Amino acid sequence: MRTLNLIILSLAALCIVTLWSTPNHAAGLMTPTGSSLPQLEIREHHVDVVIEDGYAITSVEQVFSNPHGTDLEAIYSFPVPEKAAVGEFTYWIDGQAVTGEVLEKEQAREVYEQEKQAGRETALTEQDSYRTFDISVYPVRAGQDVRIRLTYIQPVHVDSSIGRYVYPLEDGGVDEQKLSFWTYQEAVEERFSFNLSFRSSWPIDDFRLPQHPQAYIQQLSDSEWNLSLVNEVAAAEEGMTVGATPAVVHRLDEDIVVYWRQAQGLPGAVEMVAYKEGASSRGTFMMTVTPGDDLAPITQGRDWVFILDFSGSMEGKFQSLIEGVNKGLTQLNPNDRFRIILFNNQAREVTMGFENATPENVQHYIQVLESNHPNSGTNLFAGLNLGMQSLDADRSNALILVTDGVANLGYTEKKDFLELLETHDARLFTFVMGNSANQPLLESMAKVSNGFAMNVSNSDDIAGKLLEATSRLTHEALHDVSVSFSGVKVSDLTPERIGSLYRGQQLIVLGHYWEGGEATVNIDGKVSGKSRNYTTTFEFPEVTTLHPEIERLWGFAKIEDLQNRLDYFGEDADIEKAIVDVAVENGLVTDYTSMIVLREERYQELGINRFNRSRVENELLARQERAIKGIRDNRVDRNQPMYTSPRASHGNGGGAFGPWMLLLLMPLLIHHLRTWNRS
Amino acid sequence: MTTRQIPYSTFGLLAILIGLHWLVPDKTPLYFSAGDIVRGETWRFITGHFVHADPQHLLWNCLGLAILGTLIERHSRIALWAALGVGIVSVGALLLTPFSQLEYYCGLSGVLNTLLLTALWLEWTFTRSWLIIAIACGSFAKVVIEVSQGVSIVTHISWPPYAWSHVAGLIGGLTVIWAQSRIRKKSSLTHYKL
Repeated sequence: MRTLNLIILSLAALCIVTLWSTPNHAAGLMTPTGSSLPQLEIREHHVDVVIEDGYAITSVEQVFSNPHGTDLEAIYSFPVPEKAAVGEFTYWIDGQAVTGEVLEKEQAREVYEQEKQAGRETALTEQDSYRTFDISVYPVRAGQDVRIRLTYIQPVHVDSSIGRYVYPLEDGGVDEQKLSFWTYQEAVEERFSFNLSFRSSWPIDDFRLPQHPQAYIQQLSDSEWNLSLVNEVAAAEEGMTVGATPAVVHRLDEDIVVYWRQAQGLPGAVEMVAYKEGASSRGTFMMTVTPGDDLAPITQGRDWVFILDFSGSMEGKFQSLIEGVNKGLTQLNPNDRFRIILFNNQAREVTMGFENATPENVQHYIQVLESNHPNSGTNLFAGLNLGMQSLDADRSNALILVTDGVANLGYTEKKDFLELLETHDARLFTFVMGNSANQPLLESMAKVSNGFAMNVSNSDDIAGKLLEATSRLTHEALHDVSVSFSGVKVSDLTPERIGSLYRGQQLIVLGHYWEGGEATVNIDGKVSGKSRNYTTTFEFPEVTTLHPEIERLWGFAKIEDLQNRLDYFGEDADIEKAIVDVAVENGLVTDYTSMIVLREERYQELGINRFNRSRVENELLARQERAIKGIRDNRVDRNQPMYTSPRASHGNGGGAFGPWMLLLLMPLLIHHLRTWNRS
Repeated sequence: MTTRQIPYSTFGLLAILIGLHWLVPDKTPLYFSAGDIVRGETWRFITGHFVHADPQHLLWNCLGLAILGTLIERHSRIALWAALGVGIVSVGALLLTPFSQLEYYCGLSGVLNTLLLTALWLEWTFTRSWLIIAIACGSFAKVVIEVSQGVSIVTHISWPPYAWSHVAGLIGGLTVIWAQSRIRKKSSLTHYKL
């Protein structure tokens, strides 16, 4: 276990060290490189986050300014936040907020261009695959400002009693074509603010923003916290005297990562929030399962295969990578074995099959690694394929893939990767660096092999990520997890395939139901080949209207499933149609749909229904109602707990002497000095 | 009975704490880990107390050490090292038991509680002031609140608080006081016989 710890710790540390050595790219306004077009300004950037009932709602309001003499178009790009369902896009036209509607991507772009040609106000939000959301706004009139707001929803995960929220701003810089075409203007000229409001029925011990220690953190009660991060201008206007920073958050080039730590010893639990407008309407639910800590530590040794990205994007980082591997290898037990695979245009094995982890072997192969220089493209498939060869079926295998980029050579389709992984009995653990790596691909691969993917932001807390990885890999996992309901008719469950649950991980299941009533829920899985079952019974509400956003979350999760199917089976018109239908019904921006804002009268003229406006209004009302009602306890297995043990926590601890003790010591010190002087 | 001396040992200990924090980028092999100690990484029994989770953690413990170390060392340098040793053993013994259930522990605060009782005892024997008793009561009250509430009073560090290490530190401090009083009694008896 010690070996395992140290390897994972070293690799996670490597990811972070490597990230630090990478030049930062940022969210910002884009202007074509070398063009004569004058640059617009980001005058204001305000982020409001509400985290409650298991999901986060993030609203980003911005003001773009045109200090020049001609009308211009603003194009703002930012990294895709993890599992974010963009459902609201608002553009202030003639001082009135106009909400966007979702159309098929091509149609939306066509309408946008058409309106732009006609000189009418219009705005468009598009998704560029897993990389960025791009917002276009026209016109930003000469000498004037425009205001827009984008709102997205995402489920919030708590891992080993530590919650994490990321507001991504830093671009990973892997899309070289895009980066060379555009220049980015990421400075906020006037007001910047980031406010987070947190409400939970579980007591929270502490909040932490590792890269933003200047944030003002206010505890209203055990389960209600507010966070604020503002620049000087915004602070002065809000009458704040603490937490203001003159420059740190002025540039949109650093992710804002927020952690919160639940109180120790909380029970494993099942929580549910639902939305059902009436007795006869279809309901949507989100069930969040926080397992009890009942997975035993792993004690046997393993074979390790390190599959390391050696492509051009690793230039400047490779030495750090070698140091990380060295650190990991030197900690192996003599009975552990290792292989090292490098991949760029093609893959090659540095080792000669599995090598025993003797100091001599380690030293030798580190020297071999040091003689290499990263270059060329990224043939991820070749690396993975070579890593899968010669695995010993009698020993436990673990493949560690470290990459910062995207597969751009050889086989690049997701289905090819998934097929490869399905044919081998090995767990893949991927360490994904930055916001621009092909996370959907890496996550799917890890899932199919019953491993996990870990995203590491430059703003993450090193110790926290290390503990998270270690905690998962040093314990058994619940594999082949399935969820079933009886007593209430449920359907459209998502995710379609759950895979494995590692220690500390939560399971979030979304689905539809038609009638309220008492349901029995079973979670089945296997731990070391032995079946395990968890069960509880709880009530599905007949009518509940407090969480309309759940519908969008279900829509997003369903689209993820459909996208996975599409990636696996290749182009399929039916699946694509299904994605568009779900996206339009739930008002979501996807690879196939975009959100467009027009002058209010133009919607009618173009025959575009205002479904999303109604949905947004409904959601706003629900948010106001939730704020009035206060904190809700969403735990549904209180009467029949699904787990008997408390939830997992990182099991580390420390204690500081603190200001309280120093206050006590000061009189002691003064007393000592006075008596000493007298003597 | 007491000697006025520059607290070199305290300065040295502070240098070790600060140096370990800023010069060792990966402190994982130094954290206290019961499993790893049992498997042979015995240095963790000591190093775990000298590494810290974050700068705030380091700052508070350094301030505590600076005051307590200076106080004790002005009485006796040997007493400082003895208290440090007993504190490390006392807190370490707790962390090695299944009761602690911690994978990793770091920080000097547990040991500082041993130093605290030692300093209070030395001051008490020197001055017999009731202020010492009041400070001791305040210290015990803080630990009782921390243990009962599972929180760290007024301090926020990146690792969860583990208040039982403070209890173990106080037990270490009581052990030091007991040992010192035994030695004193013995030395005074010897003196009487002579």
